[in-house]
Amino acid sequence: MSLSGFFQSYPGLYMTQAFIHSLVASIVAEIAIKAWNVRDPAVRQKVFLIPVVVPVFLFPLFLLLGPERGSTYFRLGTIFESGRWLGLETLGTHPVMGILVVIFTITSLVFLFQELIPILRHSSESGNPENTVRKVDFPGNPAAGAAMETLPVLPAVFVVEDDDFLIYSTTGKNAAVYVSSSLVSTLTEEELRSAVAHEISHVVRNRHPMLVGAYLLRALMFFNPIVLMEFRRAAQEEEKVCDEFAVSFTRNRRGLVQALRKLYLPPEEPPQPRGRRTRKTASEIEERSHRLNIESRISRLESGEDHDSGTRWLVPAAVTVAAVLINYYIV
Amino acid sequence: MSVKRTAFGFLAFAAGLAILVIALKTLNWLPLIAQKDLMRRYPDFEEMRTSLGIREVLVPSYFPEEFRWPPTGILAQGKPYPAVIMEFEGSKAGKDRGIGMMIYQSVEDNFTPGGPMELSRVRERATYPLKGRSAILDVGFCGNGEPCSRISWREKSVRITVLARLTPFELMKVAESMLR
Repeated sequence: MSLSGFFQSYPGLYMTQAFIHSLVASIVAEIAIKAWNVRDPAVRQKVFLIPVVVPVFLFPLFLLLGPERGSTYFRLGTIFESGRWLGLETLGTHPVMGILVVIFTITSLVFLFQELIPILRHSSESGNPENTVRKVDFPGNPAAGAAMETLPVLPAVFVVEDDDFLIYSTTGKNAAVYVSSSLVSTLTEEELRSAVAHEISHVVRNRHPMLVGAYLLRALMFFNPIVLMEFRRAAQEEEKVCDEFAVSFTRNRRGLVQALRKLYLPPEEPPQPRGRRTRKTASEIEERSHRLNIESRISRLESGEDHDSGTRWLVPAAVTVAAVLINYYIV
Repeated sequence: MSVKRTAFGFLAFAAGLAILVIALKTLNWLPLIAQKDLMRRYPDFEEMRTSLGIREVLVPSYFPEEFRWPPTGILAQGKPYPAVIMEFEGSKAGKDRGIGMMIYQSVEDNFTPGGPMELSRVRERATYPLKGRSAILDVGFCGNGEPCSRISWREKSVRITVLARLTPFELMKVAESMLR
């Protein structure tokens, strides 16, 4: 099949339209966040998930509602017609079609190697933790045991013999929280309780139908770079939502702030002298971005921002309505 | 959230959306500059012929009294395939104003421009000999429930379609007048 043939077929039309619809929904979401100055992570997460979920349904829904969408007159009256850009010709080729194919391919590969394969590997490992880590049964550790006593929900918590600072959770049937022995000995009781409460929040929220549904729909949009980006932003907000969840368990913001500092913010190395400074590597950039994210979580916890009930449904609803209406006039 | 903040948020959101729509409209217009043969409106045949190089456009020599030459609108494209649409408004004042006849020709058999006139329900379909060509005559109703007729045939490399708010007899007279 030729490139033009693909972009005129249903899968080609669906992919192109879904890409543009998610791009528009993402811009609408950004406008709404700025307009209402939305800071509540739960609301921000909902808003970021709109460009992930909405494009899955829009193209088939619009075809159902208005079969005349493909007609010349409808296309002439639209806000944006993708066919004009796709049809642009230079030296007998269609450069925009070529660029889109490259973007879709790269995004699909990123999804495969950075998301799907790690998740499948994680799922297969989470059932057999004893194969991957040497664990000490939780009740055997009195310091950790005292820290957990007051938490309302308690999945299995294991202490892993490890000199690094580690804390993570696994989900699924055998949901559990793993804490490294060095972390248990470094954190105070209240800090450890806060850190475990944060991980428990992940376990609890991973069973949340909205998040499970959003991930499944996100997987359908594996080719879509906007969905990839927005889903990752929503995942970052998940950390903040879990921070709030943890604070609501422990009633102790300071404990979580201290735990985050000890866990993720070791003192930065002094900059190298001039002239000897090498170019930043990808891992340095990633580390810096991670640090910024942790600092933003700490700053949020320290400021003690309250949830804004006024924006909880208003902003996501406004973004959904605006994204659907504008996208109806985009073909 | 205070009422004032909510209201200000709505205003800012609406302004942001307006800018987004304007930006999209601008992006939609840019390819028309880069590529001259995309579907667009032309003020007259000469300009369309000059821009697209479409030399042969069949036009009727007979018009029922409510329609007149020249067409009130001409739309045409050179790519992905050549196509021309002519719109004719009714000449009477009052409710008959508006597009009452459309003639379109395209190398693509499935070319259906939709728009102000579309045969939404076909009541009767018949094959009709049109000066040696085999034409398909559809009689039915347009979107607003008014009686409409459509005749379509292949002429060399293009398919010609005439759609009008006319009786089948009048429509065939228009179609026949397009052929020598």
